[in-house]
Amino acid sequence: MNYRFILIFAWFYGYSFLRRGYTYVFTYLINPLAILFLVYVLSRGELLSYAVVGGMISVVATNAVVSLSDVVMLRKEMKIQDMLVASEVTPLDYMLGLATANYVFSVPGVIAYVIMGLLLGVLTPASSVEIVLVSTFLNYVISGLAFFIGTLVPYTRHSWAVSGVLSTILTVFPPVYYPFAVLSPELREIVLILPSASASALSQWVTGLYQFDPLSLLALIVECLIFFTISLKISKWREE
Amino acid sequence: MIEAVALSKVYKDGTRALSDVTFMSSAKILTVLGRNGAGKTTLLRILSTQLLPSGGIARIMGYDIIKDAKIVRKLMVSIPQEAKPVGFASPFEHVIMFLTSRGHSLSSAREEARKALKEIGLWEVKDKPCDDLSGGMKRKVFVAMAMSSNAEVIFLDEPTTGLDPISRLEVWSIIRTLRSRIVLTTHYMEEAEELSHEILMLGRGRVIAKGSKEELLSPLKGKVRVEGVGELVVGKTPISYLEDEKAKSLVGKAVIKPVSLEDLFILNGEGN
Repeated sequence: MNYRFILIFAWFYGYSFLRRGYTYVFTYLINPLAILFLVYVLSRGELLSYAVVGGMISVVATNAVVSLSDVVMLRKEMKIQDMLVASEVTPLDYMLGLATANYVFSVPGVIAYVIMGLLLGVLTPASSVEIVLVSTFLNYVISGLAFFIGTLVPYTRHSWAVSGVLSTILTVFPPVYYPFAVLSPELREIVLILPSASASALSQWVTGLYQFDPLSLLALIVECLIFFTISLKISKWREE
Repeated sequence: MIEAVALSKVYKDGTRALSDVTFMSSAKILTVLGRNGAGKTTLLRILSTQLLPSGGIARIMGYDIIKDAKIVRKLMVSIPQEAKPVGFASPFEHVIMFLTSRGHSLSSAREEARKALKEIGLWEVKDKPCDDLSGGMKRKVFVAMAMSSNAEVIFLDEPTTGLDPISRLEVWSIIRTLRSRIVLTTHYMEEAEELSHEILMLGRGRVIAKGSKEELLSPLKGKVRVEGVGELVVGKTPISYLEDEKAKSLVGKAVIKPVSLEDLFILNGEGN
């Protein structure tokens, strides 16, 4: 694995975007903050902790999903992927480089939520570290899924639609902003198919909002393995 | 040395892009010349290990592009047609990223990037986002990436398409100074005539001719192109190729031009 390339690509595609396009941070923070406001008003502050934890999951998941448009753009419009195919970079290096770039881009959002969590008493310094670890893991899992879908999408315009739908499926429907315990036991297991739900269960656990469910950790690990494996096996790298 | 034997490519939708392409070249600058859709990009993508052929074999410096793809990728760099830089990243960041993809250490990448950007005239704008650069400068970012790599072979797919005349001349002069062996594609006849040591002419996925400009034009030696008279028709213009002396009698009645590579396409039926 070319660690140097992965880190440099994250700097190239994540940090440089952040440095010169920091206003986008507000763009990706606005929706989770709007939902947080709604949850606060509707639950009269009771479910605020869930909205804070869910907001962080949502920021990371959405940015990772949107990277499928980056995959399509770098391949179809900019031809950067073609240049990398014809180099010593492997598909795994490229995937990890893009995923790390996504996370670098999400870091200001993650920091904002950690600060908010600490100020509101939702997070402790220890649980902050744990929730950041969960969000990092989630970023790689969803980036794996996004890479796979991105390499199959033929047109950039399609990728915007696909990422919009996927983002809603991953962050609005599952218990990201609301308690896991609301769902029936059967539904709780089914919903773990979604990586954002698994990460949410773990995040709600580290913040003391839900009991530990080993299945959620297992689901996240298995999903990570599945998405990366199918991406590497089926994705179009050297075209046929 | 670049070699292809019976190379063919049929895409999944049934489009035959290349048929039985066979050639060998050790020229410093080899130009693959052809009209749009002639198969130039397909050939370049196959040779640069981005696309698998449907049949045949190809070798770069003796290494098979399929079996030895890893070695081939170390030896060459490919700049795709219409490659665009990432808008918010700077030329310096592009070159560094590209060089680390080729195994350079960060310090070596910085050093090579500095050299290439100075040489190519982008040093002054090295930290500017590429979105703020002109079209010519954006194209030069990719040439700087190729240049800094010090690869044995550089594949340039239509490197000057869309550039203004001055930017095109600038890119030509840079290409001439590159130490690497160059394979470039173009549909501009004058570009092929200006840059190439050897020309591979493609038409409808097949090799029409190969050789230096002089070799390719030797069948037309002593002849001129006469527009307005003849049985060959391009668009609505009849064309013929006549001896210099015979053409003189048509002065004032027809347009008389010296022959160029364009005429080889017309003679091979590519003008229709």
